Amino acid sequence: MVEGFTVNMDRPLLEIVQVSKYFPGVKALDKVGFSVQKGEIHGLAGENGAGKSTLIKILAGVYPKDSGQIFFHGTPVDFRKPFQALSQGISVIYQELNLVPQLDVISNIFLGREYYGFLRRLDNLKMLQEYETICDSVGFHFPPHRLVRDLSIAEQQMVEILKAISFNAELIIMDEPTSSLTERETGQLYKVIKKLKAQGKTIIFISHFIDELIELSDRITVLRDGRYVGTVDSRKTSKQEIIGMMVGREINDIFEYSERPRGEVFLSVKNLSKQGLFRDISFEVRKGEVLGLAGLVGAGRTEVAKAIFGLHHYDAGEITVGGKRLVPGKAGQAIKAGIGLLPEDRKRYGLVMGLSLAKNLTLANLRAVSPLGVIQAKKERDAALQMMKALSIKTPGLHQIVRYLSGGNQQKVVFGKWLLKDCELLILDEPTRGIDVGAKLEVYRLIDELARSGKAIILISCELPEILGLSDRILVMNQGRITAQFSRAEASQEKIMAAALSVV
Amino acid sequence: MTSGGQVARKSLSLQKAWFLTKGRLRSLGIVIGLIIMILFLALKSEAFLKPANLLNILRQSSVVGIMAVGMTFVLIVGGFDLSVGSAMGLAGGLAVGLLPKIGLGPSLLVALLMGIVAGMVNGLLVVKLNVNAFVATLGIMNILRGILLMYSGGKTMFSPDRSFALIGSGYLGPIPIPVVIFTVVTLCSAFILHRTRFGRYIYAVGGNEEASIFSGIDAGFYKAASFAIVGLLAALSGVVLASRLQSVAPMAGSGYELDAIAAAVIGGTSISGGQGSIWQTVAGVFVLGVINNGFNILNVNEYIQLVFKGAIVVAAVALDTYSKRKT
Repeated sequence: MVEGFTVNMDRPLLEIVQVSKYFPGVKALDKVGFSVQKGEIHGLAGENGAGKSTLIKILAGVYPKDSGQIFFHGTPVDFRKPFQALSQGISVIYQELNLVPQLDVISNIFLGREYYGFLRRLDNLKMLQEYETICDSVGFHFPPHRLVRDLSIAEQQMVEILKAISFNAELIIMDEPTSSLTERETGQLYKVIKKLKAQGKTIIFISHFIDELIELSDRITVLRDGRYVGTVDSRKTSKQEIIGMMVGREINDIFEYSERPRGEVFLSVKNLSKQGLFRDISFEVRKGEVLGLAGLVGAGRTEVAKAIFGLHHYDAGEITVGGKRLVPGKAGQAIKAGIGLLPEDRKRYGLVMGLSLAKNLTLANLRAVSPLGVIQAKKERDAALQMMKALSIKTPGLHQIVRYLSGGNQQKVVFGKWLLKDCELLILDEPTRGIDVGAKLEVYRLIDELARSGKAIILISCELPEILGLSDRILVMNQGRITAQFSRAEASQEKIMAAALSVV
Repeated sequence: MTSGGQVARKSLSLQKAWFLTKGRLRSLGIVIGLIIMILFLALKSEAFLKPANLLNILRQSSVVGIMAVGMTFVLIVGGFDLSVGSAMGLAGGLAVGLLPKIGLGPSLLVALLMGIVAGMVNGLLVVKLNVNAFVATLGIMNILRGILLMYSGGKTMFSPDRSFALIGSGYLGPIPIPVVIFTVVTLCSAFILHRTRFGRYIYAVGGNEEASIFSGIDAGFYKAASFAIVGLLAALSGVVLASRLQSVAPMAGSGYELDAIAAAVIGGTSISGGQGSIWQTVAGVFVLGVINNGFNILNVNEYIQLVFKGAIVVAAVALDTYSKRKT
């Protein structure tokens, strides 16, 4: 394959030139350009919403780009369908793996490209031989007939890698492959990646872990807010430099914290446990306080939040609000007690995307505008309008379908939903995920204002600067347990990370 | 709050523009299609626009219309009900069979109650046991049909009762009683679905069940209630049909469930829930009614009607899905 392109040998394998991509209300990529050399491991870093995922989806042919050019082997390419990218030698391994759980390993690898023998019978022998060849080339072996659903996530990832190799992929893109792996599994993955590199494959490796990027990659490109920030040589860079490139500004630069008055204890959680999810969780939240809940994805923060909100049953412990004990597993009761939850995935859990702005705003508090069960249009409009103004939601009107609002404005609608309900405690699970920087700042100010007005707030976030910048107190969760507690003054990124990563 | 008034006025003017947005145009499409069909038939046949014929269309549409209005609830909440045709037949059978024994009023009551209970059973199967709505209602469809067959001994049941016959054949002034019933059902349903908290929750649950639960809504209740509503309205349409024909055949009502779904879907109600409205369904009912009537007036082969109806359903859904994908 490569031979045909010898003319272009001195050009990079992949060149991305001024690529832009717009989504309704968001500029996901803004004239991004960099290149990837043949045979290198190229790290891609950036915060959530920096545009990494959008970029790889364009490379994979999932999204069309709006403008700009992409050269592969020096030839301009414009993939409209994933198989076009695949057939040219670009394979993407997504965070959410794309395997058929009910089929075995080998069937997954040859899915859609099975070999046939006489009378279109599956040529299992030939597939098995090729499977062995592929396995040999990376140096590990799976029993080919194990069902994918019986494999661990790490093993499934290996199957994806085998599949990519079987496609003769020259460029393999991995989107946060280590995010759900154990340390040992991660080590194995590194070995495989290095082996692939030794065979002349090119790898784009996306990760949130900077150390990992520096250790593994040859060069690292950083994206921020949909823009290209720069590419650095891994041997000559430092963690600080890359974080600096990623963050640009510290949250302290855009949001100024000042002391807030604290009120009485609103919520108290005692010895809350649920098998396999969290254990022995105890804490209190006061009115007017922002309690940060830090930790890695999967540490159990969302589960605790759901338990408080009555969406999860728990095995032991109790939750009390203003001295009254909440019955487990009753969302209606938690809401009545004055608790609101901004879920992690607002599109799935927070909003009815096909309904209007006004209808979403009043959803949790419809009773107030429909005293006898009949919705009073004027009351509803007034209530929605008041929230729309208070939160400065940018929309053509109250009847705008929520699906067409930008991420930041959608998030404000979820806020508004609970503010209309007049909640006393807001649990914010990743409140700034997927929204752009300007909107983030507005959300920070809103959180601060809410706390100042006497609301209690639990802030769950993966972005440490966010937690550090906003919280009065910080709890760190690690593998289902609270491993550290800091006051605002004590806390630092390093301390939190240490508590979040230590082996319990 | 002086500026509040200004904003309110501003948003009012925006509301007008909102009426012409894409989604709205799509739902107006059905009305435009209906008007075109009516114009075409009016030009082709003098008989078509005569009041007697129009009333005829209305009356013929009423039976399936009552059921389709009920189906709209279930489809919007994200469900699906195949059992309504059987419920319709059984309701008619119960009304006709019990009438000589317990009198008109009680027999109607039993028939309607049966509809509600059948709907609640569907609802419980779907909500509590998590049975797929398609499968659950398919099972109930067969069970109800089986009960009717047993009850009637597989023979057509006749009703000579004059007052019972009035429900299907009587007039209120110049308006046939079935049309009156259909109108009342439509107005009540439209009020419930579009003006009450109950109706809003139906849209919310159908649009995003998880987000509704996260907002404190008891999603299961609203799903089950929707099934009960369609059960009730199916039974009502069964009573009207039985009264009009003064008889109930063992297979009475069979196939009506599909016409009801077709009417709702042609009107723009989404099979995946969260979208649709009563007046759109009514427009869909009239489209089917006008097709029936028009084909008869034009003396077109009856069999081709089915082909035409089928094509319209598929086209309506395809158009809907296509327009959604584009935005």
